[in-house]
Amino acid sequence: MSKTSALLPVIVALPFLASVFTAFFGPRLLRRHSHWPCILATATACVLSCFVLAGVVRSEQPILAGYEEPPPSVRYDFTWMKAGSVDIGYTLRADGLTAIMLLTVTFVATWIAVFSIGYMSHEREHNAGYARFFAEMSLFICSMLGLVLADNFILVYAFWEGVGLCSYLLVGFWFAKPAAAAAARKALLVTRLGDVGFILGILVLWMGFDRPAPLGGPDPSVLNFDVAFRLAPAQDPAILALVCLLFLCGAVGKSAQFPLYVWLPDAMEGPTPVSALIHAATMVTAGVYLIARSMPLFHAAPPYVLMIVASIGAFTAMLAALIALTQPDLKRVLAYSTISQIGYMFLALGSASSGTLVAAAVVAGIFHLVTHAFFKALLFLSAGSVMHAMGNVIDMRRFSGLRYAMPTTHWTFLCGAGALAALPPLSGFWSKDEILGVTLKAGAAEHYPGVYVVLFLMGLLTAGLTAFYTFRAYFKTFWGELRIPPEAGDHAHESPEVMLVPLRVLAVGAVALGFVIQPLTGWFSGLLEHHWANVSFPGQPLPHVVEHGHNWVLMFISSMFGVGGVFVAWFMYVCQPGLPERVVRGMQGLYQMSLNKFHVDEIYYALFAKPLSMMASVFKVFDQYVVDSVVDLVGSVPRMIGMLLRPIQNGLVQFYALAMMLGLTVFLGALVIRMAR
Amino acid sequence: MFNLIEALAAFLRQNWRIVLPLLAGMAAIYLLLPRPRRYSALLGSVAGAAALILAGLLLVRTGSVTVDTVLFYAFSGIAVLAGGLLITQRNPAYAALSFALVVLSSCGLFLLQAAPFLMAATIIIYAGAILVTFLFVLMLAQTEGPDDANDRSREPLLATVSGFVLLGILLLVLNMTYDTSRIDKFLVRARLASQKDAPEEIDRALANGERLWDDSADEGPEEDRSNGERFLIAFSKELSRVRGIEETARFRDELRNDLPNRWVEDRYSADANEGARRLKRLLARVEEQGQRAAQTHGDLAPAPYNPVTKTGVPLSDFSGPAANTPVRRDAAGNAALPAENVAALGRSLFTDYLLAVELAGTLLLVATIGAVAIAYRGERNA
Amino acid sequence: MNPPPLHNFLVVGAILFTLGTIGFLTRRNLIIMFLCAEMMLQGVAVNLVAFARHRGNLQGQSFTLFIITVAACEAGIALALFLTLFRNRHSLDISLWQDLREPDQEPNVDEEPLPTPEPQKPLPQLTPAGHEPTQRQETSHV
Repeated sequence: MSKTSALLPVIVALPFLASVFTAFFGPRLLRRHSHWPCILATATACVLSCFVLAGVVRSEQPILAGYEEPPPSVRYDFTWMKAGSVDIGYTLRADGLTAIMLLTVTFVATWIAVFSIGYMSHEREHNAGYARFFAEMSLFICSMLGLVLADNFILVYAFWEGVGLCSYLLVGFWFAKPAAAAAARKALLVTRLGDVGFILGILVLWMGFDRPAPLGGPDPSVLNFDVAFRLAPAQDPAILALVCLLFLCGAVGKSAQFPLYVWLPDAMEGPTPVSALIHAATMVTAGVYLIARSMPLFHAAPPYVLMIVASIGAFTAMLAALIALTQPDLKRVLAYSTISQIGYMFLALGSASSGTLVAAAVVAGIFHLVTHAFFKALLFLSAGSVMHAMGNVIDMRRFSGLRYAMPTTHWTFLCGAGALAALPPLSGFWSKDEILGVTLKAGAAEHYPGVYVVLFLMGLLTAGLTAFYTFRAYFKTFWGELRIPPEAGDHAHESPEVMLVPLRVLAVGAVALGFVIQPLTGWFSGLLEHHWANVSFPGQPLPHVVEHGHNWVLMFISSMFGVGGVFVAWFMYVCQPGLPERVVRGMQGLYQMSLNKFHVDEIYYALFAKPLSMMASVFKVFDQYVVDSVVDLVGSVPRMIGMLLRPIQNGLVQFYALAMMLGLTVFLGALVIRMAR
Repeated sequence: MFNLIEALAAFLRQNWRIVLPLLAGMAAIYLLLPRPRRYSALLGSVAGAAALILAGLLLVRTGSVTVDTVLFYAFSGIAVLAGGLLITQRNPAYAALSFALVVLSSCGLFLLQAAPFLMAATIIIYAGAILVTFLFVLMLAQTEGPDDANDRSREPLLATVSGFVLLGILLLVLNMTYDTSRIDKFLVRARLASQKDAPEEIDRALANGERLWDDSADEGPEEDRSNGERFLIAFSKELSRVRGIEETARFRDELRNDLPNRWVEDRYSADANEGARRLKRLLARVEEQGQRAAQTHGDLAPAPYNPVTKTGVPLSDFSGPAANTPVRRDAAGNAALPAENVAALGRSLFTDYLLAVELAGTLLLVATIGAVAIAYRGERNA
Repeated sequence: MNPPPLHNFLVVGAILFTLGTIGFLTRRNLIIMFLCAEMMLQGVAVNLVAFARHRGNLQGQSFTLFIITVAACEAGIALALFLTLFRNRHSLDISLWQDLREPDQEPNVDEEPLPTPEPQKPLPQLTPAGHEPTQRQETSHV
């Protein structure tokens, strides 16, 4: 086991230990200092992730941990469960994809944790759940790190559920608030729908995959990535398509895509750092990661699977953008933007419709994931800063002109908004450009070219919408005259330094990261192509690595869309403040549709919740009158017998002894009669 | 219904020796138990006396009158009488004294059974310690006037009936398993007959006195059977009731199949002296085997002793021969017990029962502490 | 000379045991109940000793010793308990302790009245002689 591979368990274990430590010692011992274990563990994990990245770059093979190494004297038996042909171990793996995810997650999570110190100051002062918050944060980060490090599907699923659990705990952090409790339940149940698909996919994978008999001894671990990927091209396409669609189902649930996206906007009920964590680093990216990780399976599956992925992505991106246009709530706008941006990532991954595009598609999707992590964390933390100052008021109609009160937050929000709106040369621009580029190329490839062209146009349109709603929120919040709601009280001023430092750091990332790692150096695509694509497609001719020439025309068009959106927003909300009213009056129907989120929640309610509850009431009647009466009848028979026998229990010891005696006599008599016969 | 009555009648005909004294005893106890409106004490006493006499005559086997027998009758009679008094006395102090009598007379029975140490220990502990303590408690818990506790009985009829039915079952089982009185009658007859000289006298002597076999069971062609044949066949039938050792079963078959023919042969042999000698030898053999059957009557047959692995015997030789090993007998044929009873008992206790002795000691200690803890009133109640 | 056979002793043991049982079931005085239980133990002891004689070993006698030990423990504890119970209800009647019956069961009460005790005959006394002194009480002036 090399030195680097020894780091992998440590990276998972550190936040876990921090969580356990905080949970046990936080409320009594650490109290106001409960954040230290979480921050230290995450920061250390971040540093270790750098080493892992360096190790990945140095080595040609993925770094594995938890496997039994060839010299039998030094065996690492990390078996988790072993039954028949199932052999699941605590096996970890780091390749290019994992290293990028690790670094992103740990870096962003560290700064979010630092920000939380300031944001949760109320809890800190009153010692109310402060330790619980950081214990759950650590566990959340631990689950996500385990998810990206796992080397078999079962382990992925375990951490996948861990992520779901932690999101439930954290969204419902203020569980005394009914809305928060409901939101937590909704998040858990809706993602659970997807999780069922995921586990079914794993089972189908395990049951349905043909295994050539001797795969180097008793090789049961088709659930291991390497084995599954090696076997994928030889499988029945129908089985493979089924597996991929079920995986997609899981990814859709976790990553809040249509039709399972409804939980994410409600998850805003949790503390804002939690929202940041969910949106940027630890939850919604899990689905994207899963598809990227399973790309060899998707690639081997029939091409319509990837087309479905892309279609879901593009549709979700557009739908969420349309909803975000009219939302009055700052955090909800950001939530829908997340859904939209994740939709972009799905679109990118789904564009890997031909062998030549696989690497480019994954690079685009993961690149957008990284940049999005930075600017979305930045945006959420800035929104959190605003919320902190405004006394938990987040309705944009109630405040404006905050750039005078909160200059630093204003600038950092502007950076994030620009990145989200894909204004050149901020990082969001480069990654979104990659996505549009790869989709356009898919439109020229052999499978479903027409569909991909349509999807490309949808993406382009969505880019304009994104710019518009982002800057709508920006202008409404920070421009115009200074208005502050009464709830803000005396702290309607800039947030403390402990909250501003993370904002500044992430702002730098949001501005420069995209340009530095990809267009400037080409480092990102090189890393993925050499250290992920190489090892993920074993035994296959490596898909041709596309030269990333910049499509200048496309860049110009997309930046025009972005700038156009910003301009429209500026025109409507700064130059002509009365204009939105008139526009709304002109398109009342459309406006209401968007404001009410296209009634998706209501449709779901009418389609699923209502019939279920009606069925439940029917069953309730059945239960109350049929089942219960049968049960009561069954229960009343012993009661009647009991009524007959009750006088025997008269409390007289001698009476009991006499009963014993009579019984003994009867038994002995029977025995003797038998004997005498 | 008719079958039931018939079966009941058959049962009574067979077991009237048990049923009769039990009925008398039941009546006595029922009449004498304390209750608010008492029955005549005379009636109860008469019933009780009848029960005692009937039991002595019918239940307990009558043998030759020896010192042992007389003492046995005395002690057991007093024990049973005192037991009856104990449960019918209204005054608890008298009841306690009756209990002392029960203990003393059962100690006499212990002495008859070669257990002198137990006799002494029981007298000292029961009559000496426990009973006196009880009298103290009686003194402490004295109540004035008529008392529910002493003047009433709980369910006298049901309890008496069920108790005596249980006793009847016990006695029935004992009779089935341990009663050897009929075997003894055969043996006595055989011994008497073997004192005669001529073969025909021997044969005739076997039919003297109480009839031991059922003539009516004989069928036509076998009417002219000799007494000896009938005696041997009847004895084999009697032995078939015995639950004993393998040897008895073999002898039983021999009795039924071979010996009658030999008896006829010797009875009518030409040489009368030789025939009489042979008949006597045969009777001696019958006597020996019958004695053996009587002694082993009712023995259980637990797992056999394995001399190689030394398994099957749980205890050492200090406790005497184990249940599945042959009984050591003295010259008179009785089971031998060591003369130095206390020493032997001590050896047995401190070898085979050491753990049990320690546990019993611990139990005593715990009971002492418990009694102190329970009886202690505490400061606030004092 | 044959000793009385095993069977006889077993019969006596069985009778003692059964008498004890009947007494335990019917008598309501705690102390008499206890004595009856002890009598049952005596019946068993007679049994065991008889078997020890019959088999010519000491196991029965050893067991009897343990019976005596247990009886002694029992006696100690039982007496302490009886005293405590007597302290609570001022009677040794076991029927006073029937609280652990079914909740809605009526307690078992004796209906037949006890006979009123005959008035004790006055002890014979000497007839008083002379007359009662009428003088007032002497007082000491010491």
